[in-house]
Amino acid sequence: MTFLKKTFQIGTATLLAWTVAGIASAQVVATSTPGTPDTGAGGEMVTNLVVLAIAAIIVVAGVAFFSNRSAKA
Amino acid sequence: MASAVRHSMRGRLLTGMVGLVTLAAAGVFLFVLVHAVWYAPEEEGAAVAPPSSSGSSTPTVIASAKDVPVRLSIPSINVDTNIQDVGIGKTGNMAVPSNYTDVGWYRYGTLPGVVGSAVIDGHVDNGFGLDAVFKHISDLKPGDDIYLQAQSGEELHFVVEDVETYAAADVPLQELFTRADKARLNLITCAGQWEPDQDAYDHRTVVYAVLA
Repeated sequence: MTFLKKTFQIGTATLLAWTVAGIASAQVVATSTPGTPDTGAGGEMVTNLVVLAIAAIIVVAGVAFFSNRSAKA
Repeated sequence: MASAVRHSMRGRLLTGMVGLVTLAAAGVFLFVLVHAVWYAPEEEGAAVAPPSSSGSSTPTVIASAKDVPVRLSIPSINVDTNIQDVGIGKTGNMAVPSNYTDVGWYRYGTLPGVVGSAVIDGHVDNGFGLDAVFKHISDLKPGDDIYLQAQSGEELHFVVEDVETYAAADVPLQELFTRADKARLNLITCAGQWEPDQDAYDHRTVVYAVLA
């Protein structure tokens, strides 16, 4: 019985916390004055270039593999 | 015989794996390329109530489709572009247009030409650091002309009043979004240095303009 009571209390507390968190996050969005927009992406340049280079190398290697294979066949 | 079959199976498995990895890499390449130079949509948060109960004096204007701004022109910095309507992003910030060449009008704010502050944002650069539509708005000076065209074809003429650059945390949001003394148009974009922790620039440039 005590176990059930404790479980119920914990469950209620968790539900309450979720509800409060939900209302809080909803309040962040439901405002007439939003925050400033993030209107730049230039800082991602290095990451983008590295990912592009690695992807390009893999594609070239894959194409070379298949070309080599079909030449052998 | 069994060895030949095993060898053939291994060969097919290798071919399949190389094929899959090559296709995945091609997909990643295309995705990053498109995202960096052309299409970078931002997921928007829930819709918001118009500003009526916040205590501000901004009038609530319900925009009909014909009043919605569709084109922005700033001759002095060679900007002539489409206007998307944007809301609020997942983080509670004003959302941004889905590409680097259009600009975004804040649809929960003021309609351009009406007393209040209409806000338009645009990117300063793309994912390769190349110029985007609002790269040069910091070059605008008081007296420069800004033209907005509505869906109906009506054209509104605004004149730049002031250009300010603020630290991102210090942007006067009330002044930007809810000042309601005149028919205002405020343009905003990023400036300053890239903050890797924030994944954003650390300053914002705001151009304040008024209806001529």
